[in-house]
Amino acid sequence: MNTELDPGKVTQLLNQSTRQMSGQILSALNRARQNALERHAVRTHAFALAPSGGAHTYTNRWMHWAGLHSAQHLAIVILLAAVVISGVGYWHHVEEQKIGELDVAILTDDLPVEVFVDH
Amino acid sequence: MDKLASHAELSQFLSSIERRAYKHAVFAVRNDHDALDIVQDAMFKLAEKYGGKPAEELPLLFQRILQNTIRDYCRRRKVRTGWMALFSSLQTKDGEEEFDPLDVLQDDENQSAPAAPDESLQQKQVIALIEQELSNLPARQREAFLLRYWEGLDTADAAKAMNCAEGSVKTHCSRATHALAAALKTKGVRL
Repeated sequence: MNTELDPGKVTQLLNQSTRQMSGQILSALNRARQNALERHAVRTHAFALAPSGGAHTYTNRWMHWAGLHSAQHLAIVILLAAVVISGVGYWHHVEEQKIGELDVAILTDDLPVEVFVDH
Repeated sequence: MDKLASHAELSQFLSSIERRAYKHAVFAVRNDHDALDIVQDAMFKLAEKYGGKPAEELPLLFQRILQNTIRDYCRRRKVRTGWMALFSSLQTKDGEEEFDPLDVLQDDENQSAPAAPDESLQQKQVIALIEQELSNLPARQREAFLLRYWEGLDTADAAKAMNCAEGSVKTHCSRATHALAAALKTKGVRL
């Protein structure tokens, strides 16, 4: 197989070809470049106007605030739920204890007087 | 923190790359308007999404964007061509133009062709042949050849731009060089 090809000569001719492009294509490429540069300018300007931290600072701050507060809300809810559950458990335990004492009193026929008193 | 590419640096870079980028696209899609669209898309993406990158990273980034944009275009065209083929197969053949043998008739005995071309014309013809043969190369071989030899990327950067292994770049380059040499030899061109 023939391998006698100098890539350097090929690229040299390709460079020659780029210098012979039609004016129509060159002006189209120029327009494309200017449009791209306008977009870059807008982006750079947005960065320059934004306070330190970038263009999304306000969004980031809000996200941070919302995240922080939602975490606090969750902690509070969990704490309240723990208090309510432990309160209910304690109340249930006290009630069981009272009923147990009453059962013992009934079995030993040693009911206190207040049992027979209408409240 | 990385230094942003300045407006002037980006402008200089784009103006230095735009013609070659256009040729890359033309070799791949063989259509001037589509090639211009591809180059413009690639420029927009670079300016919008990677304007914050250092200037020295722009060449590789742009090549990656350009190659990806070309691939996306080829995929879309493949899908579109598939649908067009499906619809055209359903249509009647009444609308087809009649074949006129005079359109393809070659007059071998016609000696009215211009005499020996001058050097610049000959060079233009050689360039046209090279461009044609580059278009005929498989896409990956063409990409590898152009990125390595025309854009001057080393094997590692070419592999990054093509999203493949360095070994694949070497293989594609070698095959492209062989294929190009063989094709040009059949046309009587030696480089």
